[in-house]
Amino acid sequence: MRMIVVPLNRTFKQRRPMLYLLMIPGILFFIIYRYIPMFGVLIAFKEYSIAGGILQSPWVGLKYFNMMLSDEYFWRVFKNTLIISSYKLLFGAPVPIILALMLNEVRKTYFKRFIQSVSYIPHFLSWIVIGGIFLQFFYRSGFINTAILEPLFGQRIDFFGDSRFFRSILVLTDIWKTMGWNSIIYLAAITSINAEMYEASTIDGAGKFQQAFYITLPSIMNIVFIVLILDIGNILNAGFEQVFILYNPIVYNVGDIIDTFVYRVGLEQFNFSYSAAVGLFKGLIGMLMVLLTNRVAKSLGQEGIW
Amino acid sequence: MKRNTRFVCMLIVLILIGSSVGCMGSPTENKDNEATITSSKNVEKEPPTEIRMIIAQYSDLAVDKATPIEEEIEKKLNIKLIKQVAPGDSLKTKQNVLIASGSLDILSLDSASYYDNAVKGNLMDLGELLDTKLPLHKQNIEKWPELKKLMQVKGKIYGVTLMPNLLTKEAGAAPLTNSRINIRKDWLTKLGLPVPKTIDQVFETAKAFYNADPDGVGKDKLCIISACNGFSYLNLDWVFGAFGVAYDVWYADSEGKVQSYDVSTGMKEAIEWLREAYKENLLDKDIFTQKEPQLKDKVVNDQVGFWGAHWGVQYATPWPREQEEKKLRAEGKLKADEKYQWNKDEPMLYWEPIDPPKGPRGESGMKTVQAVTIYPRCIPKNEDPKKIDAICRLLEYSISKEGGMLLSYGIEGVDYVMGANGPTPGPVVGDKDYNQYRQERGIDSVTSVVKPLWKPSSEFEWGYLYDVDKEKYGKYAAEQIVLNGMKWANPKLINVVQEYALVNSDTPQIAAKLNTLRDEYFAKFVVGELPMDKWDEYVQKWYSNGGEELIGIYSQNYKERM
Repeated sequence: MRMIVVPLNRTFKQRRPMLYLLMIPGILFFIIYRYIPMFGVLIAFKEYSIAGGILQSPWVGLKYFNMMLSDEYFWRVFKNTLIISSYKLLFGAPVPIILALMLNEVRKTYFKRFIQSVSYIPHFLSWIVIGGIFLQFFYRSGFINTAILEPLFGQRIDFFGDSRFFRSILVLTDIWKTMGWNSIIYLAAITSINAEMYEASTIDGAGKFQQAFYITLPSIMNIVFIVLILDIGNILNAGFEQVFILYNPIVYNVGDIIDTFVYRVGLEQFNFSYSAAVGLFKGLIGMLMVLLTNRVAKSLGQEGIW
Repeated sequence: MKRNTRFVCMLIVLILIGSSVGCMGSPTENKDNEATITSSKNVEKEPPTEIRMIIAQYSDLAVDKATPIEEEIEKKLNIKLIKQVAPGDSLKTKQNVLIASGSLDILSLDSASYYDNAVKGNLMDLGELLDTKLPLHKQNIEKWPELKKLMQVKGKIYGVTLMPNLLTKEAGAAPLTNSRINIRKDWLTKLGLPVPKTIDQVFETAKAFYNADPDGVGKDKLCIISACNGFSYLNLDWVFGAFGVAYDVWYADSEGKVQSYDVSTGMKEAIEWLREAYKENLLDKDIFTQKEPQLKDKVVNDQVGFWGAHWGVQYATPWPREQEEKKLRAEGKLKADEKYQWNKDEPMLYWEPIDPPKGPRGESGMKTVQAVTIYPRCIPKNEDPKKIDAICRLLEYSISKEGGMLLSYGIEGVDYVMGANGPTPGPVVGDKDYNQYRQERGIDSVTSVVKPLWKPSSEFEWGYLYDVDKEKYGKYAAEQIVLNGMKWANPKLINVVQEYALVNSDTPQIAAKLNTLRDEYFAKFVVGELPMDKWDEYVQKWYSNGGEELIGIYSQNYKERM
């Protein structure tokens, strides 16, 4: 390992001035689009009015945070957000890994490419389109109910209007949309595994499943952890567009999330300060989760993200 | 080699920085730059000033494309109209965001949003501009003192209206409702039933429709009383109206205290009626989950017997006409390649708008808007004199005779020719569907921001809204839209919070919370997930979760405003 690192470092040092220059656009991007807008966080502590702008609006301290934290609805949507995100993480995270492992074993290139293309397509469709498709298929008078469930089982299921099914629909549609695209990173990681390891295991008599479990999976585990840590940082983003398009008042108790609640309060009702307070709260929780998961990953012997 | 690498690195960095900086500017700025470059070739001409506006997208009308009429206006006024399109049902949300981010130059507001934005200081005070750059509008405002009174917020004027609502003159200041209830009149005829007059009769008629299944589509497919997006879409206003209430409406009681119908006894009765209809398979079981396209399918496919909607859905994007076309094809009365020409002056074949039914106390009606809906055109806070000048040019032009003719009839000699009795379609129109032709050209549908809601009548005097609609949608529809709109209005069902903008910075989150509570309880009551004896629990929760507080704030503001 050391043998490889030293020459790389040397090369890096030799080229460093130019390589640092390459970082400028990235740094500029983050300064302009990520750090300067942070100034806007101030409105969470102000009675923001458009006429006064950020600086002229009066300070209100933690008014909007108190309002948020003392609101029982906020805690309900907080709980829903956590549950939906956790489900997506729990059931959704393994799917692209499994898909990548399966695709890795496909030998016919044209078939592999076909499957990859088909599984990537949903990623390029917006939730508006996907929501429309699923609504048409799964709503009470939709195809699944009228053509399959009713003729076969004599009853319809209101997938979007029944609290028992709504979260499952959210998780399933999310997995369907993201699995293909998310598998790319794992496929890339798999291609970097030393082929000699597979050859050696074949000589030792390992089958395809054993190779997958004992070589492929452990070799990509660091990538799995990095993706997991980043996903956990997004735990309070349960997917605004998706929920917004699919939910309705009957399933508010299980489907209303922080973002949809903020949308109704902040944007529909013109209250940007409250929205900013909730956004800041979400950001802080996300950062804490990343710190925590990173530490846990390191304590388990993984690399973590820093 | 080393020098080459350095050169390549430098080149990449420069390209990336260039791209980043290029991306930093808004699209507007880019276009400004382009305009500057173009104008440098032609120093004489100033680059056109961009005017950013938001347009509502209803149905499949392609409002995002620039129409020839818009291009004509742009040429005449040396402006560039930048249209940002938002779906009709989320227009207000997007508009709020754009106002907040300073990305709108002109906007059209309903009266509630007008007061709200004016009070919050989001709009330009037009006092000085009326004297210097908007003389025609000033003339209008001075001519109609009633209008001036309506436009004033704390003594200042923040908008101009393109509709000095002559409607009020004709109707004696009658309020108006936008919602309609329609019934399948051919089903009534088939079953020999009279038009239902009361809410109980509606229930019985719906039951008869369900049992008879007049078009034989199958009982499992029937959704006799249908709607979409729950109660928020005006579809079921007529049910609430029969019980003397309106969904999501605040009223002032006899003592001037502002109260909500959402927790009233009438509302409980209306919810019970809907619950019963749902239980009996008369109310569409998809009302809370389906969106407009699914409802449209059902209407067109003969699954619906009662259907309520905004008049725009019914007449501007006529689903019933699609249904007529489909049925005539099925009956062989219309060939596959033949286009269906419906007579705009005639009633629809299968649907009849009916009077909203009366309830147990003889009440009826639908959610109603104020007598004068001014829809002011406003300028969000702006400090660019060049832009303000361009917006004023546009506002003035749209109410000038020349502008009015262009917006209403198009280009003379192309879209219309001037006859002895006024303008008639030009030779280019030929056999084309005139309504579609007008849409494609952008005649009378340019944008909701610049379009005058009235236009020169055949006598070349400013006419009534009624005249506009009569021409565009036909006599029949115009009567339905305006006359029945007035007839069916119930002043009791005007939302005072909206009309007088009684909100303050604390009310939005309380209102959002209460709306969530209400929608959840109502939906669960209707589908039978909660028993009706939980109503008191809902009311108690409503008051304790901020209802009391809202009543206090609204009532205080109402007293001050009145």
